[in-house]
Amino acid sequence: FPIPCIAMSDQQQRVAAAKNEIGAFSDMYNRMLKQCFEKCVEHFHESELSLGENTCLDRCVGKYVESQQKVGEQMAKVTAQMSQI
Amino acid sequence: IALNQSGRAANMDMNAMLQGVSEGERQKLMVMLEEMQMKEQVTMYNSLVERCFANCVTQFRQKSLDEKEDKCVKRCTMKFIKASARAGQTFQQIGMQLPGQAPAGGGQPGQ
Repeated sequence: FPIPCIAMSDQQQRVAAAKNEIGAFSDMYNRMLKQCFEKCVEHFHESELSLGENTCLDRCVGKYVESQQKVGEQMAKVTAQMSQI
Repeated sequence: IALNQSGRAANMDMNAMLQGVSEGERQKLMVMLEEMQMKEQVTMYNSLVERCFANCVTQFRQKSLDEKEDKCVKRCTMKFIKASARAGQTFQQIGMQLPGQAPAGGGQPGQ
C-alpha cells in the first residue's frame, strides 16, 4: 500500500518494502494454514488425512487466495474513492 | 487511513518529547516508525483477509468462491474500512478532549 515515506531514502524504502513483502507472505501463509486446518480437519481419530479432508484443504487454499485478491481489489477501489473526496 | 491520522497526532506530541535529541537520532527514529507503519498496514490487511474468510467461507463444495461468499467478502472489506475510519475519528476527537492536549484544530462535535 502506498504510504508517504518521508524519512527513508529511496534505497531504504526498497529494502524495507522487500522485508515487508517477505513478512507479509509468511504471515498470510500462516493464517491461511490456520484457517484451513480449523475448517477442514475436525477429527483426530487417525493420523492420516482422509480423501475428504485433502479435497477440502485444496479447495480451502484456492478460496483463501481468491479472498485475498478480492479484499485487495475492494480496498484499492475504496481508498481510490476516498482520496477523491 | 485511520492509521495515518493517529500517526500525525503522534508526530505532534513527539516534537515536544524529542526536545534536545540530535538530528541523527531523530532521523533513525523516523525511519523506524515508517517501517513499523508499513508492517502495521500489512498485518492489518492480512488479518482482515483472515477475518472475512473465517466469517464468509464456510463450505468447500467448490474450489472458488460462489456469489454469496463473493458478496460477503466485499461487504466485509467495506465495513471494516468504514469502521476503521470511524474508530480513528472518534479516537482523535477523544484525544482532543483530554486535559493538557494541544488541540489539532477545531473538532466538530456531534460528527
